Amino acid sequence: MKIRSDKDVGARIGALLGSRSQRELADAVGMRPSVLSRALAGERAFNMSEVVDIADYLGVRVEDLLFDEEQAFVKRGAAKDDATRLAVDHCSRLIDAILQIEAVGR
Amino acid sequence: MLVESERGYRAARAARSRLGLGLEAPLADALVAIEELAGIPVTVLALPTGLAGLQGRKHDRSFIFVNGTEPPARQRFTLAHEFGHVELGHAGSVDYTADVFGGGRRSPLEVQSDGFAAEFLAPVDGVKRWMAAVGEPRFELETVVRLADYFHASAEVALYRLQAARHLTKGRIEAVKTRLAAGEHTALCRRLGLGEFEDTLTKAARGLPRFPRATMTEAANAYERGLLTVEQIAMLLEVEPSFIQVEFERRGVQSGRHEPDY
Repeated sequence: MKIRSDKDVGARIGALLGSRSQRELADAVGMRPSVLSRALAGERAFNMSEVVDIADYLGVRVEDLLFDEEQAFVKRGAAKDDATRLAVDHCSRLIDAILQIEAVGR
Repeated sequence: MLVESERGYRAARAARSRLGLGLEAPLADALVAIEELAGIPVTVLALPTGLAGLQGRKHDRSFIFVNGTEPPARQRFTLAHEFGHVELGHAGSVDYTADVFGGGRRSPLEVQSDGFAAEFLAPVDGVKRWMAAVGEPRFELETVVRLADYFHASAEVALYRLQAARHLTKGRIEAVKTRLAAGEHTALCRRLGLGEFEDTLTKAARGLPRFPRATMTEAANAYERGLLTVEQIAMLLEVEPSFIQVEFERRGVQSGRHEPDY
């Protein structure tokens, strides 16, 4: 698992924010909009308390914001055709599903 | 290449010892051994032609996927090959049929995993023991198919195992290879009443996909506790809800048997 840079954490939050506004997020987590904007651009690091609040607002895990997803299959990029690429993506999703079911069922 | 194969053999012997499987006997069920004893979830599913299997890693866990549309003996070898990648510490990989079964020049990692698979399924010491027990038969196609059946492996694997156990020369191998290529072993197996072995892989092939046993148990737990619905489980595993329903009915799982924990 790779730790994201400040800039990548900002980009990840920005991507998860989708159509919701930065102001909405700033209000929800008690940050000034200008500070949030700088943090999203990677010009300022989020502190841990902000990350926890933002993860809560976005409905994701803290680690989803801080860590890069691993590539489960290293030859993924070299898949020979579309059918193989689809199959590899399917298996990647099944790994996530297995982990998710395991986390809930235990 | 011999060095790479030897690395695989050593890792397979170490794995067999660690898992309490011994160094000679055939595996009663390779999938169960890998799932239950090594703790690696195995999914058997229909993959595109030419794709034998995959081994993925996430959060320091390994996951194996096997193409369930291949013949069972091939699936067993693919499964052992993917397990070899795990045991040898290789990164996650996508294995095409040529990676697992191909001849010619291949990556050292694939050669290592093939060596692992061969020794894991049919250890050389077990081959020697079998040869002695059945009276050191002459080397011919029948010996190859009987050995393959004993270890639930393909005739090709049995052939190379006999070579590794020094029971035949390269010249004699070529003669049998030609007969295998002509498909003579299939008719011989039928005549000898071989090839009727049943294990989790052969059963899985009758109703793909087959998800890891522990995953389905955890899904059932979550369902019974009201934490996941059949539809949510089906969506996660990308199957029809009826597939999950049938599996739960088979297991005697009932909804709402327990109150949710929260």
